[in-house]
Amino acid sequence: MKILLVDDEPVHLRLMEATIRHWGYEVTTATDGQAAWEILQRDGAPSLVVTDWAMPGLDGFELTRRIRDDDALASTPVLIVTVRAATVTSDSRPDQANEYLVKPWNPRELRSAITRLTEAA
Amino acid sequence: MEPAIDRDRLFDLLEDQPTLFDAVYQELAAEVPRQLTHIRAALAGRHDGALATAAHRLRGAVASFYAIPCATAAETLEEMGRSNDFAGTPEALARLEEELDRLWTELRLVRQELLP
Repeated sequence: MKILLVDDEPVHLRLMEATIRHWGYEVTTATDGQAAWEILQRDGAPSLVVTDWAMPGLDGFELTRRIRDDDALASTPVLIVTVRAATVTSDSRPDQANEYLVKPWNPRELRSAITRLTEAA
Repeated sequence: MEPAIDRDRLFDLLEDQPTLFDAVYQELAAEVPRQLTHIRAALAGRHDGALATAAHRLRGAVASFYAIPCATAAETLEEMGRSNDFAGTPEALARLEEELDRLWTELRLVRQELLP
């Protein structure tokens, strides 16, 4: 099971990458939405996308919208991880992502979310 | 005063992979000065968008270590950037620098515990 992690903030990206690898998943990373989109266009695309929301250029919400609009990728689960807690609790948040998680996350919450989404993939 | 780091949550994350701490600590040690430089330049030039972006990145970096007071200080500057309000930025920057000092002190102690 390959997971794509997307975050422009290197500390959080490194932390998530090492943690998720430690749990036995194959991980690939991208530091912005455009790079993530290019990875998703290749053969053997990741089965789950875990992405930051606020990134320069193509952000996490726009990346999710592109995934949903693409016939080949539309069913790929997306977990948005954001430091903006208010966004996650707001009724007005976009609903195209499968799940949302607030930074700093609890490892058990992150692992549970990944397990749910990879089982559904 | 609120602790610089929520140690329980950090150790919960690192309990079965202590070497991870050192790798991420090195990333933080590189990222914080980089974003502080961007923040100071944005304040000097009164660039609201650049201030919000740099403060947001710094906030995300320190939040990864459950450094909530420091993340909150960065969030204050981020919001000032978003609202183009530079009136209280010298005080907000001073508070962020104080919180970063507390963070480094605490992280050095954690490092000694995890990697003696």
